[in-house]
Amino acid sequence: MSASRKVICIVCPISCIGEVSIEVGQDPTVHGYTCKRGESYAIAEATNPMRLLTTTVTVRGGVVPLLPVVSSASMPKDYIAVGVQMLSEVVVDAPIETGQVVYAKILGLDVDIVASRDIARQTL
Amino acid sequence: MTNETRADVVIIGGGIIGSAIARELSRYNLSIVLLEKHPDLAMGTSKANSGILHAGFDATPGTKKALFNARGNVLYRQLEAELGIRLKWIGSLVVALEPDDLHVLEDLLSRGKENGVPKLELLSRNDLLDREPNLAHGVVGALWAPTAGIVSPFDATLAFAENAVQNGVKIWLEHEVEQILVAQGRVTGVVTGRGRIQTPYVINAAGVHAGSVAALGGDESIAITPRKGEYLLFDTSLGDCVRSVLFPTPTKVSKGIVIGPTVHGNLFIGPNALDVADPGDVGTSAQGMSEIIVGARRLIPSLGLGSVITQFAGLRAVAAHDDFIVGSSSVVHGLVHVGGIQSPGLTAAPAIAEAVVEMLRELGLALNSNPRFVPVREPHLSFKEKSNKARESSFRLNPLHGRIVCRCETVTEAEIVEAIHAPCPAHTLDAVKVRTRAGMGRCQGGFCGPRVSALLSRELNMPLSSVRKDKSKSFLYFPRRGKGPNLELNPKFDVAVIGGGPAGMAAALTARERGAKRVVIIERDRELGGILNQCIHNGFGLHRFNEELTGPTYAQRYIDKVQADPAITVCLDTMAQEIKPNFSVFVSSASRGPFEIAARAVVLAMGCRERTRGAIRIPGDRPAGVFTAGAAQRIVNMEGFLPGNRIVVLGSGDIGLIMARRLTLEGAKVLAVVEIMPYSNGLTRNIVQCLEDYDIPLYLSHTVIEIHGRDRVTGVTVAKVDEHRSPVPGSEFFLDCDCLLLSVGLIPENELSREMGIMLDSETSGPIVDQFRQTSVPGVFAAGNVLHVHDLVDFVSEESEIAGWAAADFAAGSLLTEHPVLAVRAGDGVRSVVPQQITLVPGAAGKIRLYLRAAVPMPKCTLTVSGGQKKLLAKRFPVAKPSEMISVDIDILDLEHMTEALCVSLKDGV
Repeated sequence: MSASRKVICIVCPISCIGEVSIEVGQDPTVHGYTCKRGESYAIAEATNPMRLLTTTVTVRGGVVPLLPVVSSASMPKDYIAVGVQMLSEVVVDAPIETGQVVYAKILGLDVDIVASRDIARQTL
Repeated sequence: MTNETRADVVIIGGGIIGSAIARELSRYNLSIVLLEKHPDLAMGTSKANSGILHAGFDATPGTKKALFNARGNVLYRQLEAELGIRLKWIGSLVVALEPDDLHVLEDLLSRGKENGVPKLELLSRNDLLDREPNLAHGVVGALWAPTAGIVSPFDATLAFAENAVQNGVKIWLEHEVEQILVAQGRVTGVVTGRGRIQTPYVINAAGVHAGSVAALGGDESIAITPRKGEYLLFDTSLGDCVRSVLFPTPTKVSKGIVIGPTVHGNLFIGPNALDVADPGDVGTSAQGMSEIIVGARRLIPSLGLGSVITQFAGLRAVAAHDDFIVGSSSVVHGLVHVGGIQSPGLTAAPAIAEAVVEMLRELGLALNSNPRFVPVREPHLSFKEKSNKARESSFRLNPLHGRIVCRCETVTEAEIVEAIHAPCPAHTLDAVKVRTRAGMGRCQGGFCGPRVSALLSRELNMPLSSVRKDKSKSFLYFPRRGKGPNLELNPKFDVAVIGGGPAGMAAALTARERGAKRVVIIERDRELGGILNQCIHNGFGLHRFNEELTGPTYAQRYIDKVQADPAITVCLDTMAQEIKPNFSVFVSSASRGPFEIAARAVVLAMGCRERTRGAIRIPGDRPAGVFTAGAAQRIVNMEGFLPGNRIVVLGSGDIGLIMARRLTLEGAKVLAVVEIMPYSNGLTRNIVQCLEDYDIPLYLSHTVIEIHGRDRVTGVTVAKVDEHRSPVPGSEFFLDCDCLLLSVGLIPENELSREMGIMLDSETSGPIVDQFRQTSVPGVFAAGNVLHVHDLVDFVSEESEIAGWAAADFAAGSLLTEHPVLAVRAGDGVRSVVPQQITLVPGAAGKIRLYLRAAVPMPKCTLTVSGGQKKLLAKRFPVAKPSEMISVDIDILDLEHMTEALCVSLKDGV
């Protein structure tokens, strides 16, 4: 069985639009890109697209009500939506420091969700 | 400060000689550094002397003194107009007190004729007493030299130095030369306590230290003896007791004690002559004082001492053979000595400077004329000299003229503040005094001294204990025990930055790195970080930090640095309302109400705002549910609410694309992104990762032609557009949404800029700036999205560093802006370019980066930069899109002799 997919390269501003062909049991083949970096991007994008996850979680006792968070590494693209939904239930207490782990090993991946800014505690 | 630098010529010594040479050399296209070990110019021999422009009859014919005196006297007549040096051509008299003296006068007359001195004349007793009625009645005659004059030696030195600085010379104060580097018999550089300068030519104009400076280069041939001369200065009540400079007839031993008026209307007597061993010995003595009083009273017996205001001594630099030394070192190639410059050195200075330039030419220095040489220094009228009407208008221009700091000499706070920040700045009490006369009057600083000290402290952001009288270590005051005064009250900042986003923070940090002592950031929001705080997605910092950060993390890196620096004050919840011409920023803060923040330079970093529905004129109802994409972003990411559940985005700007994804992830349904242009306005990455990842359709060449709904949006009508962006009849379709987000462009936020009269570029909607990001109002800089809308924050930071750097320099008085500018225009295929002009700073080198946006998408194109017929460069780009800013570097050296505007254009093909 074979399949081919159009992939727009985002490595540089040229934005080549090429195609990746995948045949079972064989290495994927590419055409339409002007550089090696584009080709390897396109193969990764066609076979195992990865993304960083960014969203917000609720803060308790902070100077602002929401904490922006980011995954410590890229994760499979189709984990993103469910990850964001899960994190909408999470609450953390201020103070918070950039890089602090908010949710470890999300969805069983070897990826943590970490704070992407500092938030001081609200003083009254 | 750089520790290693390069110059074509280094001049050691900032006296009248060094300054005159610097000015003469600034006629040529050279990089020139003048080094002075003291905190001000004219601190040696030039500071304390008689201030006489000698006619030139005294020197032995054929000597350098004779030659340069005669020529110098002529040159001052031209310099008087060019440099605005205050001179009085009052003439001089050599007075014969005894009949025998008349023979000496005849000798002087014939010597003068031989030296080429015009209009010399012998006066009879009667003619003499008519002219000078206060003279002793026993006088018998005089030699009248009408071409003699008087000048303030400090003013003359400053005039040369300021004009030199204006023409590109760098003057480095408090740089004492420790070593002259020599290799294979040639000068290669100098080492100062603060770094090293590579140079093939060194001019030794070190006054009484010329011998020891020569020795630093291994040349032991110069021997200078300091000869002390003491003076008494009287107040202006005695200024008209004599009309001309009076010399007694010289004897074999002495030229005698001189009496003369000063340019400022005082009277001086002196000097005696005493060889001293210590080149720092300028103490006065009772014996010396009586010597000059007795001498002066021989000429004016009625001279009373009630109006003496001060006594002082100066040192003459006397060479072994008594003539001037002006010549190349016989030991080291490239080293030129100008030593032994005693009287008539002040008169001779401009002539010596001409001779030194010729010597450098003979030594092989290429002298090409400096195309930007301006011989004229703006004349300066002091407040005291102005009419009451002129004083009123000065006051209206600068209210600091309303406060008289020195009562004796009528010097205003404005004049002192100006002197402190002048091109050759006054950083000590005496430096202020010699420029403004504050402290020169009857009370000799008794009243104004502490007040001037306080102004120095305020303007230079230093405690009173750092204020000095004149020399590097001449501190005036010591801290007392206990807590001491609160120095934090109403501080004046070097740089005020308006806006605490990425641009403002980068500018503030760089201003500090560049030496600004105090910086304030004025931010209207509750926290620093600006728009980055709501840009929670990743994609920031790839250029800057080589990693992919989220917006808040990118901001946090800068926030951490700002907060770690106690010299950066952050005013949150504070809105700048007006920038005044003196750079005070009028603000209103949530906690303090309205107040004023004083600064010396301002960086505008207010960012941009979004174009709204009104700006694009969509017809239909006006229901709730129409938001700009950025407002929606704030609601979602910072407040935790949704702007709608079924969403259409109009415009494919990056924020719209980012919000399409974000809202999808938060559970809303994004029906479509609609773009009127045939191409997207967002980055390709965002098209892929925000739309394609979530199967959100992008309608190119479409627009929303109607919004439906009474209370809340109930839907929008979308239509295709033709090449003129007009809706195509019959192509309409309805989208059932409850929210329309607008991502239709950003506009730099320039209300403050416009109010203060800053010129804006109609294409970028930001200020017109030069390569320093300086706007049309000197001292006001702009960077980031207030200047032109960027697509990557990385370039905002880069640009803001330029502005912060330049603002710090401006605050320090070292960014000179009075230079010609070259316009930079957007040509074919280019929508806009920043900077819009280049200031041609003499001696500048390096690259200037131009940022531009293409007018339309172009695959494979060539960018050219040309000036008139001259093509500076051509660079190929694989693609150019309006959505992605491109940059190109031009070499400053290529701009030399360029007179026509630069034109940047993009053409199809390579």
